[in-house]
Parts: sequence; structure tokens; C-alpha cells
Amino acid sequence: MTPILRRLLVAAVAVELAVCGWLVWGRLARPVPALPAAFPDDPLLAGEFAVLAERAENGGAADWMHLGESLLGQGLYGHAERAFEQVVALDPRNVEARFALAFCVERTGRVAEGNALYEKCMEAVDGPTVQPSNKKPFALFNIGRNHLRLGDVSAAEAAFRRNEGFVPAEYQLARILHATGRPREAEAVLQKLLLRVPLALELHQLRARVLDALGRPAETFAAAAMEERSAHLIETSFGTDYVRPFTSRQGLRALFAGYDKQMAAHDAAGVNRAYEAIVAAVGDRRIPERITVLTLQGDRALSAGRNEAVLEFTTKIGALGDGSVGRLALEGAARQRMGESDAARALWERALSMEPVAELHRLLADDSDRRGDAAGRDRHRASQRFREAMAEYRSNKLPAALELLRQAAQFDDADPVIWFHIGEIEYHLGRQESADIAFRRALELKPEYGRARDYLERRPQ
Amino acid sequence: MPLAARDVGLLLLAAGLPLATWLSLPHLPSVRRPAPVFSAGNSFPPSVLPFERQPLPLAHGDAGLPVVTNVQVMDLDGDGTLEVLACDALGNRIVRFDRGSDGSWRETTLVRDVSVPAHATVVDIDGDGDRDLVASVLGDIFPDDGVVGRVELFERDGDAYTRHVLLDDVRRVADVQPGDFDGDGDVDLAVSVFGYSRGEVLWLENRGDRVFADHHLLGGPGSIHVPVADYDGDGDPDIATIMSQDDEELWGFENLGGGKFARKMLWRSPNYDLGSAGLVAADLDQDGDVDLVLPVGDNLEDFDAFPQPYHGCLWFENVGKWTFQEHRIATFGGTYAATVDDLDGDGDRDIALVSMSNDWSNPANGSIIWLENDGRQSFRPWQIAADPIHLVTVASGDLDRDGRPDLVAGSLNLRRPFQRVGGVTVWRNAGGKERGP
Repeated sequence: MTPILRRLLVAAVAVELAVCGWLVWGRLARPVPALPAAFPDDPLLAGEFAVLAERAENGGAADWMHLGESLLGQGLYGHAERAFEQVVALDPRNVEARFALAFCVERTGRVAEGNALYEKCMEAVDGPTVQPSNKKPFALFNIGRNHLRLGDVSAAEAAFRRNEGFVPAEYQLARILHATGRPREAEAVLQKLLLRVPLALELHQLRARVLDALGRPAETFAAAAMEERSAHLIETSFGTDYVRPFTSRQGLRALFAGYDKQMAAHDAAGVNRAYEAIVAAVGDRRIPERITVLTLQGDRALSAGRNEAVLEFTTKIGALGDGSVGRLALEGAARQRMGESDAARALWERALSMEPVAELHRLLADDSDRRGDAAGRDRHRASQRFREAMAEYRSNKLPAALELLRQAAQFDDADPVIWFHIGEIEYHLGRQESADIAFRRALELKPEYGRARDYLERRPQ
Repeated sequence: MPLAARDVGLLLLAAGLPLATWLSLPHLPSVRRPAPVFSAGNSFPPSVLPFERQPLPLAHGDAGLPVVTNVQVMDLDGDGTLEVLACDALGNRIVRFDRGSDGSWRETTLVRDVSVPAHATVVDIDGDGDRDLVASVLGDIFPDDGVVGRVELFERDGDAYTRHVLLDDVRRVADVQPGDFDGDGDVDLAVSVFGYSRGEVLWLENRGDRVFADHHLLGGPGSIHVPVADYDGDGDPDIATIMSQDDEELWGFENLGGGKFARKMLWRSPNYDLGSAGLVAADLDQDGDVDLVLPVGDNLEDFDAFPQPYHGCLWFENVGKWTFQEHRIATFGGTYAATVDDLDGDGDRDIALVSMSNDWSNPANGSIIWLENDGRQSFRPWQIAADPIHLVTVASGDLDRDGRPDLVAGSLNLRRPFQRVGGVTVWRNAGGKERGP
């Protein structure tokens, strides 16, 4: 080999050494995901997180992001924070990671630090070449709430004002205006918001307080009366909404989510596979899913007509200390099928003494009918219709609710609560005379009925 | 021209180095350690007062996960000894624990089929000389805006209790407290309808024969407790409450006589995440009026609660004319309940606090602590225990009749981790000065 060639080769080897050394060092020094030492409450998590961690360690930003979100879904804020930091290091313009990082930091009590990170997140949203993101109003909302956590009302107000057009932020602004003695400004904000979200519960609740502060009693009453039929809720904290999608990615929750999915798809084989996996994973661990699994086993046994097995499962549930309506109802159903109708009835009545469930009223109405007990049948039919009516009413379906209440009153016209709610719905439908008749009927039946009395005394004429 | 050995080596190195790197790279372990993870929460010096832990035998407690919403210490049967009264929200029961002469405990179910009892108020409501139970029925332990609450009276007749529904068609009821609010000589009731998105505060006027008329005092969700006391010192019982669901507001209801009340907002926090978790009426500074003690640390709005720097305990000093001055007296992550007693027997009023959501990943973080009062309402925290965890209720009383107040607490095992599981636990106070008669 010529000297020149040799020198070139030496130079090439030197370059290779440098490059390979750099690669090896980069590999040896790569960040390692932080994981908890153990997952004592879920037997599946250790293995699943080991896989996610390995992928992240050997992968890129997307793998770290997936790991971070999965850790967050298990409530491991500190561990998730480290994963999101790595995403931001690899991909500084990643808005989702910046938001997640800020969230982890502020949820663990580092509120001011969290706000600084939300600001960085918003800068990333506004920066060039970032994928479209809806995170900005949420980041700004959380900044406002965090200022309140720090006791800085002025800074919070400024943050909510910056978030104009985002209903939850404008609602927070109205709250601040009310709390700081500016009811007229608060009322103006609320009026504007109610045009956009007419049946928002929080808006009506706050408006009732604002109008009370303004000394307008008739309007206060009308705003307060909107409470029951306001089916829309305005978010005041987005923490659970944000985390929820990540909660059932791993572990037992993923198994349960898979079961629900198979059920929704009516895939019997898939349901059975998911069921077997859940039963095997939960075993007899001291975790809340133990009762859920036993109840599931009881329900399946009932569907399969294995009534004795149902009783075995309800006994096991009881042995865990559970005295729930669900357990009593399940045992009642098995007893009924075994021909022990007296025992079933007693169990259902115990369950109803705890919780007024429409379906149990239906079962008892049918049972009373079989026994020739017309009074009992009608009482339960009235209660069943009443429960169904309330569900319609609270979904703001007033005519349907009223129809069911009228049916309930036909079965039992001596129940003052039925008449009260008839009056309430008639009031909302603008039929004042019919409302008053119903409220008076409720008061006749129950003279101590304060809510009925209040309606008659306080409603606007 | 033949290649020299070193040339061959050089060539092999040039070819082999990238190849070896490429092949070995995926198998090289990282030499770095995972970055340390942030943790928080609070631990304190071990208590200077010795406390001996004694778990009480809640039925099925070894197999299930107890959900205890309330504990109280009281003489339920009037025999001069104190018992523990507890609300078991998993079993939907109200239970009583009696201490035997050998120090062992026995559990008795007083009433069953109470749907998630939040509190049991012991009061002779019908004036027949025995102690009835009034249950605050939540109806659902989880967030629920349904009309699932009740006020139920369990009228005592010998050893049996007969159920009467006093208030129905309301949302989740968290507390009921007695008082003769209209001055007619019978027992009326103040009611916290916690609800969820909707709720209210009521008082129920006793019209005799277990008939109660409902009177609306305040609308809004999140009323936790309604301690009744003569806050303004005018001789009649008033009502206070803490609203906590999103607003954090302390309210007073001044009894004007004749069943009329004037409501007063006593305090509000701009921090909607503060997490007020209860309200205790007590004359903490022993100046003759009734103060209010507010444990703060409920952050169940998150799937996984984490202790916050503003959690702990606030004292609202009654300075007269319905003015209450705020003092922060402790910072303790996840504080959920407080009880006031002279734990060290030095004549002033100390406080015990329990935590539902300290940072349980650190086994040193406390679940029950006490605050030693230096006599000038400056408090020093001492840790009693870090096990069991998830404590949401605490009460005090001399259970072993040794002259020292003991502590009893209850665990609400709904959230992870399901470790260090407890039900109802007594901490026997084995130190401090004995109180005088």
C-alpha cells in the first residue's frame, strides 16, 4: 500500500472512530424513562409499561409522548412529566407535549411554574410550522385558574379576558366580576353567554346570584327556576376531560374498556375472551374491580339461567362488605327465577328503600299485579312513571316529562311530589294557572311542603 | 505488492468499525439513570405524644376495601362510656363499636340499607327520652347530580330502629345537625344538600309527629357541613356552612327568631381549587365565642388527587358581629377532616387532622397528624401515623377512660393506591397530662 493510500485510510479510520464513538456515546447516554418501582394495584401495568418504556428509549418523540400520556392516565404525574420533557427536547414545537408538561407541573402544585410552561405552549401554537392545535384556549383558561390558585385575581381576570369567545373563560370572568362587586358587568357577560348557551346551568346559577345582588327579586326567582331544566354544564376544570382518554389505555382499565367495546359490537366471542381476561387478571386481589368482576359474573350467570351460581356470586360480593342496591337487585332476580317470589320481593323492596330505581318499581308493579294487589301495583307504576318523568325533565324534555307525570298522577293522585313537579313544568311552559293549581294540590296533600309554598309565594305575578 | 500486516489491520478496522457499531448499537444499554421524579406531600416529626394504633373490626374489613364516610365518638346508650359511631358507605350501614373491658372492640350494625350514609346525627328528635338517629343520605358516593339524597330518621325503640323518611326528592345530603331554630321547644334540623352541580342548604321545621316543613336557606352545590352554634352570642342557635363544590365560601345564617334567618357570606376564597372538606365549630382560643375550623384538601376533581401547597387547615377566629378572621394554622397535603380537643392535657385546644390524598408514593408522608397549640393559637405539627391512608374523618374522645382524649379515624378506599388499607382505626393516646374532672 502506498504511503498516501495508507494515510488516507488512517484518516478514514479516524473519522469512523469519531462518528462511531459519537453514535455509541449517544446510545449509551440516551435518556431512560422513569417508571415507578412497582404497580401494586394492577397486575398488568408493570409488563405493559416496560414495553412502552423500551419503545420510548429506543424510539422517538411519538414513543415518548405515548409513554407520557399512558403514565398520566395512571395518575403518575411526576413520571409523565419526565417523558413529556423528553418529547419537548426532541421536538420543541410539539404543542401537545408542552401542554401535557405544563399540566403535570401545575397539577402537582407547582402552579407558577406550570403557568410559565402554558405560556411556552401558547408561543408554540403561535409559532411557525406547527400542526393545528386547539390547545390555546385551554392553556389560557388553565393560566387563569392557576392565577386564582395563587390568589392573584387581577391576573386571572386578565387571562380570562384574553380568552374571549371561550365560554368557560368568559363564565370565569363573570364570576370574578360578581365576586369583586361588579354585578352589572357580570350580568352583561352572562346575558351575552346565555344567547350562546341558553340552558347552561352555571350561567343561570350565577345569574340568580348577580340579580339578587342587583336587587331584582322577580328575575332572581326566574333565573333560579331555570336550574332544574338546564341540562348543559359549563366546564370549570378541564383536568378530568384532558386525562380521561389516557386512563383506559393500559392495565385493567384497558381490559374493561375492551369488554365494553365488544359488548357494544355484539361480538359474543370477543366478549367471552375479554371476560376471561378480566377474570384472570383481577383474581382475588383487594382492588375495587373485584366487586365489579363478581357482579359481572353474577349478571352472566343470570343470563345463562344459572340461578344458584348467581347466589354464590352475590354471597361473595356480600363477603367483601358490599351492601349495594345492585347486589340486592341481582339476588332478587335470581330468587324470582327460582320461584321464591316472596324473597325476591323483599330484596327488591330493600333495594328500593335505598334507591328509587324505575326498573325495580316496574318489577314490583308486575309482582303486585300477579298477587292481585291493585293498590301496590298502582303505587309502583306511579313511582316508575315519576322516575321516568324526572329523567325527561332533567333533559329539558318538558312535554314528555309532563305527560309521564300526568300518568303517574293517574296511578297515585295523592303523591304531593308528583303534583309539585307538574306545577314546576307547567310554570316553565308558561301556564301559570295550571301551575298554581298543581302547587296548591301539592300543598293540600302536604301542608309542610316548603318548595311548593315558595313557588306560590315567590314566583313573579 | 503484498500488503503488510498493519495495512490489513487498517483495512479491517476501516471496514469493521462501522459494521460493528451498526450491529452493536441497538444492544448497548444506557448508562444513564432515570431522571428523579417530582414528589411532594408532607411528613412531620414523630409525635411527642405516644399514640397506640388499634384497628377496629369492621365486618368483612379484611377482604374488602372499607369506605368509611364518618366517625364520631359519643355515649350512644347513656351508660357513661363512649362508643364509636361510624358510617359504612360500602355496606350501606350505620355501625357502632363498643370497647370491652379487656380493650377489645365489638361491631354492631345499628341500621342497614341506608344508601351511602354521610353522617349519623344522634338526637332525641321526638322527645321520648331515647337517642334516635338521623341519617344524612348521600345516595351515591361518586359525583352524581341525581335526586338520590334523603334525610332519614331511625326512631329508636329499645334496641330497634324504625325508619321514617323526613326529607325526600333532594340531591345528595351530606350533613344534618339539630337545633331549636324557631324557639318552640322541639328539635329542628339544619341540612346540607351537597348535591353535585346543584344543591342547597335547608332547615327543617319540626311540626310534631315526625312532620317537618322544609325552608330554603341558600342555593348552590357543595355544602358539606352545617355546624349549629350560637355564633353571635345572642342566645339562639345559628347555622354555618362551607360551600365547596367550585365556589369556596363560608356562610353564616343568623337566627332572627321565629324561624327567620339572615344569611351572611363570612369569607370566600378566590382559589376555587382550595378544596374545603368540612367545617368544625369550636372555641379554639377559649375566649367564650365559637370559632370555625376549616380543613382544606379535597381535590377529588382530578382522577388522581395530588397534595397541593394550599392544603391544610384554616382557623376562622370569631371576632364578633359575624366577623371571622382567617388564620392559616397548618399546611398538610390532602387534609380532609379535623377535630378539636386538648390532646396533650395542657389546657388549650389542639387539633388533629387527617389526609385523604397526601403523596402516598412516599411512605413517610403522614395520614394523621396533630397540631400542638402553644396557648396562643400558634400550632406545631406532629405526625401520628402514615398507615392506614385515605383518611377522611376523625373524631376524639376518651374511649379507654384514662383521662386522655383518644383519636378515631375512618378510611375511604376509593382511589389508588389500595395499600395500607384501613377501615375504622383508633389511636389510643398513651401520653400527656390527664385532664381534671
